Amino acid sequence: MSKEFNLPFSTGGSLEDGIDHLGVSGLGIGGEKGPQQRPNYPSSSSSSRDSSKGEDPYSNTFKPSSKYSSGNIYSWRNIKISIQTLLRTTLEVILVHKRLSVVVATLLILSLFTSTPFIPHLSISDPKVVIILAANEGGGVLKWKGPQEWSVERSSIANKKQYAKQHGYGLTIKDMTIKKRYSHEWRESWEKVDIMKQTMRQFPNAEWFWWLDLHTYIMEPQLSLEEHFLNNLGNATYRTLDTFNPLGLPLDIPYVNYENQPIDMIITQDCGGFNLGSFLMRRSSWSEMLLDVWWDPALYEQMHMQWEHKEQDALESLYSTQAWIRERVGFLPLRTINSFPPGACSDKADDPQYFFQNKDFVINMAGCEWGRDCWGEMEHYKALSKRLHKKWWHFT
Amino acid sequence: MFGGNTLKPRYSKVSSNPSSFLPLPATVGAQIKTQLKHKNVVVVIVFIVFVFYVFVSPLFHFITGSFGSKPTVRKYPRGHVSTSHHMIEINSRYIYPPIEHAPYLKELTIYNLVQESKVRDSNFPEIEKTLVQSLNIYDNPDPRAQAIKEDEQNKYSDLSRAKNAFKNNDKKVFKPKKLSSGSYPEVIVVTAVDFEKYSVEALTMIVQNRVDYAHNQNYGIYVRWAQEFLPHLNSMHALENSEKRKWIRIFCIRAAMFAFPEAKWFWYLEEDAIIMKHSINIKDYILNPAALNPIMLREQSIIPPQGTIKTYKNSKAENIRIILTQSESKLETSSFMVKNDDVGRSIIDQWSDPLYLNYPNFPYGPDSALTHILQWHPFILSKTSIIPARTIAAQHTDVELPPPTNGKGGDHIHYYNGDFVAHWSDCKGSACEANVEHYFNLRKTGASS
Repeated sequence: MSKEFNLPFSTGGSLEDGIDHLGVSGLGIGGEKGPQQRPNYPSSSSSSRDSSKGEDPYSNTFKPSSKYSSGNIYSWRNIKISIQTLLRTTLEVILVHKRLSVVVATLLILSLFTSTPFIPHLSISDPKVVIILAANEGGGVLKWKGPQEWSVERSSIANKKQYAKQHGYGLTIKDMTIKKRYSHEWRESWEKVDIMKQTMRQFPNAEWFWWLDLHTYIMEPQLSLEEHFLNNLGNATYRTLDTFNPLGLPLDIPYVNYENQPIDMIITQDCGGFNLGSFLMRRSSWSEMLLDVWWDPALYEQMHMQWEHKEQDALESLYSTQAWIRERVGFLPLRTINSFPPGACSDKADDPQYFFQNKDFVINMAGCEWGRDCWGEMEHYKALSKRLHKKWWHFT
Repeated sequence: MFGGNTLKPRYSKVSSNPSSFLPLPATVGAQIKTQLKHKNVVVVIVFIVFVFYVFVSPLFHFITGSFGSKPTVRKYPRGHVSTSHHMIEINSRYIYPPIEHAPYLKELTIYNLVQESKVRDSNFPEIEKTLVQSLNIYDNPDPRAQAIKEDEQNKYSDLSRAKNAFKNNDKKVFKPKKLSSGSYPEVIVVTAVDFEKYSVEALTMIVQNRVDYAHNQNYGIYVRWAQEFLPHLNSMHALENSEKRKWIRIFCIRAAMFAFPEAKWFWYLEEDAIIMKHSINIKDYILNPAALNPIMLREQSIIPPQGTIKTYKNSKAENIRIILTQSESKLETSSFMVKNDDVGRSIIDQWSDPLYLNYPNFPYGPDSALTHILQWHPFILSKTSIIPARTIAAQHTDVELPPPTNGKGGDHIHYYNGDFVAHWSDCKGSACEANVEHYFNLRKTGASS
């Protein structure tokens, strides 16, 4: 059978050859007929082709063209034979030089894990986005965690783990227990900056770093960050405060040039100003510098009485006076990555822009540890997320 | 299959074709029928594949996306100078105020050149705050109407002309006539001059010296009145304090960076200095990494001689954004250079943070602030280089210096003949004036001889 694929008739029988060639092969079955049957059809179908080769069109004998048979080195049979020969030779060589072959094979396999050029590599691609989850906040010396706190932590971590796995993001869970080096009154609550720097070192190839507080829950885990806003950052964010400015920060400061400046930090504003419960930073020299100057003892010494929210206030202060900070900060509407439950921002309870509605991406139970029931809220939103994503074929 | 067909050729029209002399075979009709059936099947399959391809495959989104509406990019306001939203475009590479106005400005005094007002915060009505603002706040929002108004005033008296020119200096930005390569200056020499400290003659010499140098090397200059920065300092008495007034350097270089956005480097040189060797191209002398690499001081204490924090041993000259000098006891900012890129501008912005400006624990104003920044922020320290003072800020002294031994000057700070820049800082009254004259003439005779 293999020989027949090389016959001119099998290719001549295609539909495009038109009505004149609709002899035998025109039915599309010519290829299945053996060459011996060909002489029964001395029709016009193959006449033009045969005569072009200078053969007698009315001859009753079939003579395979030498061009298409054994002489062709690309024929399937020849390839098969040469492959077989090659395999046999290789096997012989390997059997003769057993030790050398083992060494070569080992080196080849090891080379998969290197970064040498021109060699195939086995690389587990690094995540583009890394989620930083702050766990154990304020824990440590002051109190033991109760069962409800353990439960909240477990739910929160499982939620982020599942989300990171689904979208191929990195996840790092950072311990925020009270440490001595942050206990000075000018240096409290500055772990956030240090952890950010540390994570950027830990994931040297990741681009975006998404900080999430412990009391958050991703309600729409099927939605990737790229789909949600990262791919459309220019339109998803706003960069001037003229539409929404709860703190009354200066709208316009000199020398700010937004043109051609990428967005390196994405934050949200709640009713009390910047909210750093859920924010993103992109790796760049800009963010490296911001993380370096964010905590400055000379500034913090002067302001630590006024700056109740510490790093949040420090960032607001930098934002309101410095052009370089302004140029690369983009704001998302709160509900895009940081919806609030009704308990938070309770002064603005009638303003829907802060509060969670079904299909919002992330819920942040901000401030639930101050007199609200974290566990209750977490359980409520966990159940809600499950209910919202119930498949129609599931019962109950 | 063959039934219903006569043996007569069906396609008599085809057979009438003179090129074909044989009648069509009897089975040809059936063949064509089968053929057509096949064709239909093929067409249907192609159609189904097409529908799936367009509506189900991921490429579908791409196709519809490319025909859909183009995403609109949000527009944000343009950057503007520090005291105004207007800009005056200047074709010349040399931006400096009309020096001949100095006597008028002196006559007007700062109280007529900037606006001082007392305000009370509604939250703290018992505290009265001073607010110093530029007169640009009274500008007409329409720049053309404002220009007409100013023309009227300028006809009226020389004083109002001087006043208008004074407040408009801030609006000047460089705009080359044609955007061909080479027409944009790569280095800008920045200076703030004080019309109360020097006479018109001395001021002219100072500015002339910068212009001559810039002309020689194809650079630009950016000169402003020191008094224009009173609103930044928010005080009418800031110029009386020799440390406080140093902050003007930072504000002035930031304004220059906005006025020459495409320049590569900015060199702030205090007014109390004369560039002595105009043949030196500062790019080959210092700014190029190859030139900077051998002269930058590594592992040099930020607070000499024995401060704990030192410049990095292996920082690369290519990464340097800010270049400064030191005296025997501290950092000096009378002559320093900043690279014009995102990081360089960020460092200047951060340095001029109002909280540093008003911090009482900084005895030397911006010098202390920068010392603090370098000691606490490794990122900025890694972008900073300290070079010997004699390279760009050789110090003048009235004391007779020991004669140079073996053809070289004795120390690394003081000015000797042949140094690039002569700088004096601790002069009083007419002595400053004399210094300007001395060095300006010394350069002229030195250049001619």
